[in-house]
Amino acid sequence: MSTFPPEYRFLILLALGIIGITAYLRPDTWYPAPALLLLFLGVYTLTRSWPDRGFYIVCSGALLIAGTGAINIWAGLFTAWMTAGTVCSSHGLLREKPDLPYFLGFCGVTFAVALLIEFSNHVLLPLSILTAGCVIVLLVQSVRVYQFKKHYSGGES
Amino acid sequence: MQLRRCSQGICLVTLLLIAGALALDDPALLFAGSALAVAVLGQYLVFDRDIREIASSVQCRRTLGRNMVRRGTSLLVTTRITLRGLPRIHVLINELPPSKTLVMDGETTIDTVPGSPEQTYLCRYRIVPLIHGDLRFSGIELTFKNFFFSYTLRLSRETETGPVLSVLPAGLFQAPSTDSLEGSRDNRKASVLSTVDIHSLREYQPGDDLRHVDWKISAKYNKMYIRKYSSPTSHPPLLIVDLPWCGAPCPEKAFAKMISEVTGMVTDTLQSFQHISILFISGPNIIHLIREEKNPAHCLAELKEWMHPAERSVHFYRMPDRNDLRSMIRHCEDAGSRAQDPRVRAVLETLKDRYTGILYCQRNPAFAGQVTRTLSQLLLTNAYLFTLGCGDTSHIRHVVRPLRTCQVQVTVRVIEEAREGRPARRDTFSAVRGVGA
Repeated sequence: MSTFPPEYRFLILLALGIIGITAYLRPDTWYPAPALLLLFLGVYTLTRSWPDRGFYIVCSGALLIAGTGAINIWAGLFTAWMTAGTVCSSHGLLREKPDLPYFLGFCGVTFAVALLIEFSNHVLLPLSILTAGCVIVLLVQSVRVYQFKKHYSGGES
Repeated sequence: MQLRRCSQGICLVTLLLIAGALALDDPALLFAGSALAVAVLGQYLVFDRDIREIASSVQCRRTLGRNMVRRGTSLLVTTRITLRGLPRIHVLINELPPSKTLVMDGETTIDTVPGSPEQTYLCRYRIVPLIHGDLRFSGIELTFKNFFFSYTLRLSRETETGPVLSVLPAGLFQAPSTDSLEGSRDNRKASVLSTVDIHSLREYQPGDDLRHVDWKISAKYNKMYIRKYSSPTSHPPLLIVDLPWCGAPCPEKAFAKMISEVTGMVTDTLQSFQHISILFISGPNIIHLIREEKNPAHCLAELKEWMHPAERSVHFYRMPDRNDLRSMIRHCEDAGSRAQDPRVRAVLETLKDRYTGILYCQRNPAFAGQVTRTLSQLLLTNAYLFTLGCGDTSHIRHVVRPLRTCQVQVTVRVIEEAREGRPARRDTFSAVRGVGA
């Protein structure tokens, strides 16, 4: 019987990836990414029994994504995937096969976002496009939720 | 859809990252913020898909102990709810009884097992309808929760709100069954020979005392008729207990004092008169009537059952009595005719118009009729009303007036918690005259 937690494979990949990227790209200030990785691992270890553990891991993960993204946007993308994998595995969101398409969907969308940001000169344009996308999704969703509630409250949808 | 604490924090961090990216024009911060936003949005869509799947699997079947009940009687309700659970989604089922009913015992909330296959949950409880008419159940409420979101869905389709519960009016206001069921006729004429009254006549039955045969009537109808006698007696006082509303806090010490006072009075009255009638009201709602109870143990058991803060289906707020309004109008007219100063006359005229306006708009409340019908069945010469005097007390006028009209002496006992340097108030009707007006 394996006692190896499923999130460890993402954690090991994340640690190896960040060390490899830092060594390969050799940025002027090399230490933020490894330091934030240590912070992430520390938070992951310390908050095992805390309530709302997901929030603490996501916060430290966001800092790590921003830190590696400052070196290279693709390094940031890799970190985002590995962090998401760790959070999902630790919360049982990647336990079964049907969960995998959602994780792959997240990877695909973040890849598109990374592409958009990579090919933009400034923050404003990709931010506007992302905001518009979010608003459209939420608008469609609000209509669906209204119809859903109406159906179950006895009205015609 | 509500964000839970964890996702609220994540959304806040996302906003901070995006604001930082906008301020510093930093693509790394923008990417971190966007990744979080995409993750939250994705989780929301997954949660939405899951709750739709669970909601579509819900089946509700409700059975009632009886299809028709009288108001104020308890009814057993059994609801079977079948649903298919999904992993990571925690579902709480809340059964919603009809409005204006009181849940007496049993559980109306069911905690389901996440991830279980199609499973049936049983919910069994008792309700007491407070109003009569056809009542529909309000449905069921499902609360879905996962790590990040919670959502409450109310299912109120016909399948979830049925069956219709028919509540009949309570028989509190019907006249009690009399000897007329035995074929006798009332003849309350006073006897000149003794202090004993002939109450009624009925047909002779084997074992009856032949000295009580009314020979004249027997000869007339060619049947043996027996006289039923009743001796003059004084009637026990009626106790009216005004229970506080369970929806608002009430002074516990004063309520405990009221319980002990009522219990003491009941015991004394039973010793003196052998029976007692107690009327429980809660604001302008008649809760229960104990009619001519003779058994002290039964009486105390009923007191124990009913003496607690009660639900009120009707509330009054400064509801003036129509007779008081009429007397105020007359008073204004008299004072206006005597007043010399035109300004005083104008003020009195305005007051009179106001009172007249209220009198035209305000109908007699149903409570007043209920009280009159209830009291008409009882023979009494005096009554004691126990109240805490908290909240609106205008209903007291509607209880006291019909009693006074029937020449019943009423004593209103307002029970208060004793304060330092101030004795507890012992009020009579005259002291509460102005309360309702």
